[in-house]
Amino acid sequence: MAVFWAWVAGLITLAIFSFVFKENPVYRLVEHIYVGSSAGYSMSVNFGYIRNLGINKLNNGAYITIIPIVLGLFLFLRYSKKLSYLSRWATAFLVALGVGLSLYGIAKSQLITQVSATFLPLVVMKDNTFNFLSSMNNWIMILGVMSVLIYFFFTTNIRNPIFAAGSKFGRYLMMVSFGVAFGNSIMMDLSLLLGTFDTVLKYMLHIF
Amino acid sequence: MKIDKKIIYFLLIVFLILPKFIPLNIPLSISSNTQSVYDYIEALPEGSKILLSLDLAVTSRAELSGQIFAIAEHCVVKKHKIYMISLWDAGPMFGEQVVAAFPQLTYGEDIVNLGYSAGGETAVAFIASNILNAYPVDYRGNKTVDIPMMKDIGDINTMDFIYCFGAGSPGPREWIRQVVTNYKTPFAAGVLTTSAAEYAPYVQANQMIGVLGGLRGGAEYELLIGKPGASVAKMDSESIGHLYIIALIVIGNIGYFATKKKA
Repeated sequence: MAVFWAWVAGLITLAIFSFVFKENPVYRLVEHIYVGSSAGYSMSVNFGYIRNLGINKLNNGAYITIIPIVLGLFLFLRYSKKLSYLSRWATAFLVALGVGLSLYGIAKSQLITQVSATFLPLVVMKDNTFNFLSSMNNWIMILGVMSVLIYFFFTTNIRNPIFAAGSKFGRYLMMVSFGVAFGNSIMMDLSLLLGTFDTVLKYMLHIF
Repeated sequence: MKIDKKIIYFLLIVFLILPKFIPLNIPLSISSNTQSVYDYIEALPEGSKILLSLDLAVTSRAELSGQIFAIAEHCVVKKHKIYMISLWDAGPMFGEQVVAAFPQLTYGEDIVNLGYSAGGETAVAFIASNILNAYPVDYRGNKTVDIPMMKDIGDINTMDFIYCFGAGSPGPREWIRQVVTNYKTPFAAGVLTTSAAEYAPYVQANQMIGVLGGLRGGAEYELLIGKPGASVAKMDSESIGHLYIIALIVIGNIGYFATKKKA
């Protein structure tokens, strides 16, 4: 049985690759199978979650779970012209909960902690001797953060030589970081391609 | 001059498969991030509780499965207790593969797959407040109150270390916002290669112990635990592939400037 499914996976992979030559009915069929099976699997898993944490708990006497179950059902009412206003209550609850939960975390972890992490010593001493590499690292970090922030000051007179130099340096740093992101993206794509080779060559054809 | 893209793709496939027949054994260096994560798990006392959050889909299997099995292997060797959860619906499948990969472990005493939790960041906050409440049953339908290794489990502080295998959102950022910020639980993550650089600020700010990037991170970890496996085997192909892409970029730029000069 494992061999059968290995061949199914391998043939589906090759069918997807056939898109490289030309879009064809086999590719379309496999694409639809992928979308449909993903949606079906996701729906069944989420239904199981609602059953475990909602319906089973309600049956066991936790009557407060009726509130989230009803709010969840309200979401479907957006398809009704008469009762669609009820779906906005559920959406409002979801949005408010999400914002309330994440606001403190975002402010603390992505703003305050990050800003305080840029307060670095410009002269790093290790065993009473000047550590050039760590000091240079800190200088690059501080100057880099400041110059990239200066780049996004749109209300400042850019003719000021300090701001102009800072903005230019920030732009070059961002170009370097975009290059890093692109290089990482290429690396990820190659990794995923190697994974598909495993499916075809290793599990289907047993070449490796 | 335009090169037909079918030739480009064909050559790419040839160059990626070539190292399988002619192994190059290109040396692999270990990054400081991977070393930090390894050292932390290595230093934990035996029997520590490790929470693995499998926040990935099947599409990220090639990138992250190497890390999953390498980290799990390290935890097994160190005799840590492994608790697996997931914020993505496909995550628990990887949990079952981990359980199957270590038959010497007793399910419920050494390793448990608690399953999927819906809601994203809300789910992380719920799990952090009380893990037992968030998981009344595990992935296999067993009541968690009856599972031996769940007996001392309360909020997220009962975990000694959290490792998130993140392919997107919800993922490591949600764990940092809800757990690291509020509970200060030690945390590290393995992410897709394309996202690895985005988490460097969190490592630099000591919010994360380290971040492993994709297949390369998995390969480094396999070397550290002394069991080079599928990820290490793919590194030669990865390197050759990169050289090929660099060559294409150089050829493309030469062609661009030559055409510009002609015009």
